[in-house]
Amino acid sequence: MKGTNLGEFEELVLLITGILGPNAYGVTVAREIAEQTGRQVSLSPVHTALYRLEEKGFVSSGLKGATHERGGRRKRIYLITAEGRNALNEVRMTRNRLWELMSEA
Amino acid sequence: MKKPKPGSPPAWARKFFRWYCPAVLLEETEGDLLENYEYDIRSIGLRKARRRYIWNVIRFCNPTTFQKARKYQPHRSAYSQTIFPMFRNNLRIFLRNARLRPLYAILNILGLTLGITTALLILLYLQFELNFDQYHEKKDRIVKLNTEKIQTKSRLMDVDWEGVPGNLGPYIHKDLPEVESFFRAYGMFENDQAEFRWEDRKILIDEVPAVDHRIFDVFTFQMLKGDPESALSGPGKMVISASTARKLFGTADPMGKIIMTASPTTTATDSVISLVISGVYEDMPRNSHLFMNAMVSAETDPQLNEYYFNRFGFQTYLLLHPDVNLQALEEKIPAIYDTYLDPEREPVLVRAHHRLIPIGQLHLRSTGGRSYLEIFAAIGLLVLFISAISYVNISTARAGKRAVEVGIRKVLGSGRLQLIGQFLMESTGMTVVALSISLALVVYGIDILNETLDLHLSISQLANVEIIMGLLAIVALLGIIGGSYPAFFLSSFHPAGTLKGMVAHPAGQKNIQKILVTFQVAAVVFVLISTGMIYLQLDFIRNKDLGFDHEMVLRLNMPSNIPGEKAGVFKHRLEEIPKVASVGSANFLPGTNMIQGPVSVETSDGPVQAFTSRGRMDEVFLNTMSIQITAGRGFSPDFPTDTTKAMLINETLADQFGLINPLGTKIRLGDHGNPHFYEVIGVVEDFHQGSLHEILMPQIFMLGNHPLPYLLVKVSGDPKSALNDLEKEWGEVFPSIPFSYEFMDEAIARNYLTDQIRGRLFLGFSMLTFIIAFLGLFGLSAYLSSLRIKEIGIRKILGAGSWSIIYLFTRKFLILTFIAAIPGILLAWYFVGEWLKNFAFRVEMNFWVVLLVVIFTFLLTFITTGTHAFLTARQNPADALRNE
Repeated sequence: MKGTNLGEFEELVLLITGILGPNAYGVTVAREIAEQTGRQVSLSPVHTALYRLEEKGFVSSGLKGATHERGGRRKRIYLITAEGRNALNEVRMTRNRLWELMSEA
Repeated sequence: MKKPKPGSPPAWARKFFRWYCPAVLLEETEGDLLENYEYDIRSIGLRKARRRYIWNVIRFCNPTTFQKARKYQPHRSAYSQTIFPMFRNNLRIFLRNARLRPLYAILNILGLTLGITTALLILLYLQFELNFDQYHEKKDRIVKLNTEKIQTKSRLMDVDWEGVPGNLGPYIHKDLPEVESFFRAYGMFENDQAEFRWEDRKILIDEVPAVDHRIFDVFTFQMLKGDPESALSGPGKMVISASTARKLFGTADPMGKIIMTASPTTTATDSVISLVISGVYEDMPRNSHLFMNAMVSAETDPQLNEYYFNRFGFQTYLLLHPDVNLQALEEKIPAIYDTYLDPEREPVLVRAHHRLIPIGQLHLRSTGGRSYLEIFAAIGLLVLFISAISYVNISTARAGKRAVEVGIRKVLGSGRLQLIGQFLMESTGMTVVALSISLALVVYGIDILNETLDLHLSISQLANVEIIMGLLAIVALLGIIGGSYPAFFLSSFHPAGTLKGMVAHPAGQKNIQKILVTFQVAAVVFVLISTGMIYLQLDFIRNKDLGFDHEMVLRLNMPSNIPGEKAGVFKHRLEEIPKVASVGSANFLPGTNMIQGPVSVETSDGPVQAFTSRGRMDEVFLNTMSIQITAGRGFSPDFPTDTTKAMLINETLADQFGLINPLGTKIRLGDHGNPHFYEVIGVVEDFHQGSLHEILMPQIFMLGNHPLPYLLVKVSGDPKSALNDLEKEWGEVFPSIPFSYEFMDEAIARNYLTDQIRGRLFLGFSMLTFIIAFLGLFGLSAYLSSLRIKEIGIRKILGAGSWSIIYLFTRKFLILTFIAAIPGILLAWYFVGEWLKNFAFRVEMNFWVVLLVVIFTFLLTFITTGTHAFLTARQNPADALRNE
């Protein structure tokens, strides 16, 4: 188990990236977060989180697909990695265990 | 603020963003900002969107962004962005081609590798030979004395000897201020080799001369132990090389140890000499003309100070002060004779003229000069050239297959120059690969090479600026020049034409191919003829009758300083051994050189003076060596006056002096003034007193007193058992002296060592040239046949037989061969002729060899080119035509 921790916001971003699949990039992740959680986040923290996630190896990125709205500029697409999934899983299991303990009490 | 265009983000914010954002992130981040902005306009309205945009731009300016930029920034320059992918692409194409048509790729690489390996080896050899003695610190001031002319009372003779009188060195040093120091080196031991013993170990060392202690002033030695100032001062001292030290002493410290030798010497030393090891020096570099494994101090020789002007043979080196005019100095030397030579003591010699030869020139002078090396350099270039030609032929031949590739590249925008560059890169790349393989081959094979060719090349030579430059030049030559024609040709294709299936074969290409093939064939013819002639000559040498028996004859060295009686007794004991047929003795060895000296012959026209070879022998010698007497008689104990008055001469002497009735002719040693004369009692059949390089010299023989230095023993039957018996007898008569012997044919073969080696070298290079040219021819014809598959198919259908097809295809090549053979023959004639001139006795240019080679080359061309035609002709024409 890596000694890297997943911050709350990072976990959120990672989840959304996993959900969006091949369409996950700065703009879409930010929008999806707003939709799913109601939190209005601006682009820059999302980009930062994505970068940090990539540093930790939980996502990988590449430049793809220019569109007209972007004036022909490509987007950097982020894909969740196996490690990323594992990390999310760890967090979920830990959470669940703690919840169980709490409900017993 | 200006009213912004609806739909585009605030200009100033955008500009600001563009300013701070790192280039690598610009595209993606600006895109995200823009997309967000567009979306926001639609969802929350323009004003809010704009505010959001500005907020985002500001927020993006944070450390993480810049970290991210650093991570994504490729640490490569724009330059390499384009070059590396090109390399990868080219490599891919190259490998693909190689896999599809492995034959051609292999032919190319093989041809190139062989060519480069040959050139590399020749380069190493040339470097070795041209850099003899360059390691001496004072090399610009070191010269060696050589004797150019000898002046006697009646004649001035050109002699060109390497040795000078023993006392000349010291006199020159004393009288001529230009000379800072000097030393002499000469062979004190018979055959320049001796066996040394220390405790219970013994070692045979050759190249161990006696030298003056001042050698360390002149030559540069790395002394590992011992002090150069004193190491060779005084008698009984010896310095040895590091490897000699290892051989004799192992890991023990040699300094101060006493070793003994009982080997025979040329002077009046005791039978057994003790020497103290007073120094050890780092082995001399192999490219030294005077290579010594050990040196004995000259003062060990009791006769050192008695050597006089009449005793030549001393190698004398001078260390001059800077800026001395050699010619002026040379002219001062004869005066020394006038000053010091006492005519009473030395009646014949008046003076001598000497030359001073700078040390750097010595090696080449004695081994046939620069011309020999030039031939090698020429061969190297020739081989490289042929490699290049083969490469060009194969590549251009294959051009057609790549026409489509070229066409597409052009369509996609490659310029001509770019294509040329691509192909040049390819050829250079292949050359580099071939170079690496060659280097590996050389590194691994250099020891075997040194063995076979008696060379002393070493891998460390590679780490030399000259060699590296040479290698680069080779790569350039082959890669660029060899590749330039194919590059130009290949890049000239018209894209539309190639895609349609047309392959341009301009007439120019055909002609060039013809020329190249002609060149290759000429080279092959040249090489084969030369090889044939060289082989004939070497064979001739091996088998020529030298005029004396040398097969079952061996020589023993008679110890010096033993009483004549003992020697006589020993001889008789040896004769008693059953396997011994005859035992004779002499002071020279036939087939190796004899001493020369002046004589005066009384001819019918009066006394004539000349230099002749002279030797002393006993009565049995001629018999032992099976040398015939053609007139008169040999020495005989029945005539007691033989010992002082009888002389034998050889046929050459009789001819040279015009002696029709030689018997009874009076001959005096020295000049006419010598009161003592000999009378000729017999004429001896000519025999070769030296190697076949030399002409036959006039020879005189006299009876010698025992003990004479060499015992010649003729054995019959099994030599081994005879040797055992000989060794036993020796051990009983001379128990303290080691038994050593040599068979005459071994001794004689040593004369021809250099020739044998050179012959082998030439053979080797010939083979290589041959193979490379053959490869080129093979590749070319393979391709040309494949081109005409359809044509062959059609001809077959129309009824042509296999043979007529083959004839049709090979005809072109055969004609070329015929034309090419002529320059090849002429060149071979010239070069081999020059080489043969080295031998006084030689074979003549043999017409049969030439004919054989031409026929062989024809056959070879025929087979090479015909095979492809044949194979294609055998194919089912339907298959050939099917690929429409």
